[in-house]
Amino acid sequence: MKEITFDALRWMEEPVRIKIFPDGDHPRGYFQITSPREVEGLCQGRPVEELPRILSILSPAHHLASALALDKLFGVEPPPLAVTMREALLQTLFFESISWSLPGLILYPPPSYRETAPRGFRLLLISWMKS
Amino acid sequence: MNDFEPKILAFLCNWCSYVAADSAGVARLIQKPNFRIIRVFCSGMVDPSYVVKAFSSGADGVLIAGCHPGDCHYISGNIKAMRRSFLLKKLLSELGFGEERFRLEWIAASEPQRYVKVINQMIDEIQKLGPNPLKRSYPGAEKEENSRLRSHGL
Amino acid sequence: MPKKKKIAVYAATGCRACEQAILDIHYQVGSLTRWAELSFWPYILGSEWEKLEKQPEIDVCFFTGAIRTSSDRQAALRLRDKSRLMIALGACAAFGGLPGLVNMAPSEVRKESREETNGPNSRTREKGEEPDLPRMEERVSALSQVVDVEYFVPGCPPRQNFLWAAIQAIAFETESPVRLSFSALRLPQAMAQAITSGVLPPKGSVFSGERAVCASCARTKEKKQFKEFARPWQKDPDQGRCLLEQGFICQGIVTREGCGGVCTAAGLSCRGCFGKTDEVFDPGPKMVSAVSSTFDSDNPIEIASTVDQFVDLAGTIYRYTLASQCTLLSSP
Repeated sequence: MKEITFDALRWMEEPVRIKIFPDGDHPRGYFQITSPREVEGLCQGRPVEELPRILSILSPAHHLASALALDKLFGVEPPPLAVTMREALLQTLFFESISWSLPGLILYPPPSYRETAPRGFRLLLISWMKS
Repeated sequence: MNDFEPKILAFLCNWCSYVAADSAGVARLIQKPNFRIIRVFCSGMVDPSYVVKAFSSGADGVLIAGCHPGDCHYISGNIKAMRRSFLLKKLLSELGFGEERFRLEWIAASEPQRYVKVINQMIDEIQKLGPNPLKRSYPGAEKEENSRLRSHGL
Repeated sequence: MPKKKKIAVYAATGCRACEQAILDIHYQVGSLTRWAELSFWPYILGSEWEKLEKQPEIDVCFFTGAIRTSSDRQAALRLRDKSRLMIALGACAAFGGLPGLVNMAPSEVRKESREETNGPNSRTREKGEEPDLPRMEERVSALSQVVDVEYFVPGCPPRQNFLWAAIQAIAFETESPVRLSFSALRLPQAMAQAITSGVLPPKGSVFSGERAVCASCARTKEKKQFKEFARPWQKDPDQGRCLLEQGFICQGIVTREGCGGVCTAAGLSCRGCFGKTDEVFDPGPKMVSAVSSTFDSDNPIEIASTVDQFVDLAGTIYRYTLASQCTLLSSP
């Protein structure tokens, strides 16, 4: 059976390869991360204030998620400058992934920090921490 | 039956606990033979790095014995040893070297029976605990020699 | 016109910040391609492994990231075969880095993630032919525990001055005008002399200073005694005084200098990303000894209660160096 492998993808955070099996009727494609970082194991047992630094090996979404988690834990509201910085960080994430094409930018405008903050990041963090 | 024979490294201070060990030998008190003694001049001289090096070289237990507080020949050397022992115990237990493998005891020169009791007790407990965790082989342990040398170099 | 050197850059388990650091050397990165040819760089160029096989030899390989799966190990071995010189770039390759902390994780977490990848219930086991994922190893290793490494550039991420010094000294072999500036001040003398005279530094050199961070830290050191250990959010640090004296656990005393003391200047205690100095056998007990000597008490009960406040001692001390510098976790 033929197999097409894309050995290394550019600009990917982890070494990733893609394998495609053109099977005639049922072609299959696999997106494989060959070196997972297992961040769950890293974070368990560390002091809480180190969480943003440990998660800095991941994308900015995790930075923000950890910052939000620490806000909730300590019961504090970030000052307006911090909120602006977080918003800017969030915009970079969306620019990086979506705006390779101008239509993408128009069709999917980057949401603001306040919208996504309550729900989205919690899910993002949980699902991406497993990677 | 457990046929594992532990190896305990004992750092004994020259002025009190070494004299006690000597007297224990002269008085022919019954001791188990699983220990090796290193005579230091004060228990405060024992750097935690020596303890860690002992464990990483394969010792199953480490004992530091010094004079009672107030009796130190160098006035406060044993107090320094005591200060270090708390954090050192915590570090060792976090890295998997459990409770009884490291002990700090005060043994005076006139207490050979206490010395013998401490040694025998420690050997018994470590025999139950098992060998040094590093000696238990795990799959995937490769290049052990080089990894140790490299970990010393960098 | 001297022949261009071939450079390969590869990342194993890491965050790619070290590779981005190569691109981040300010304006000097433009001169990179004047003396070197980037022949293998999956992150930027998308090079495939066949491209590497076709080359006769790579002069210098910058390897980043820790070794965690069998594909990492194979990549390290293949690159070692092909390269003349190998440089471990960044804390992950040099000593294990943050991924190395997994060696201390509770064994249930590690077993579970290994079973997800390797075991019979893993998601890749579907019907028909399915591609395998590379096996995860039992413990994370640094690059030096798998292959021979010639040079180390530590740091998380590495500082631009040392990275540029490494690239110039090793990759260009100083055929370019040497602009080492302030990095040569901190490098050990043997290395600085070698670099400025155009020879390769001795094998096993680390591109960082030799002394501890305290030598470059700008804070004043007074009497070293504190009563209570403080976590960063419990106390506002006094910006002029040494952090260790105020109760924060600063690992500058066992860490190599060279970064310029940037973390301590900003009010955060040093985290030790440059690895331990040469004179120290193991940073753990040395930190224990240093911190314990600063306790301002003779009473065992007080000391015991202070020690109880410490959270995750081993994880703090060995945050970047657990895989290769913790002698209690490597085999004897």
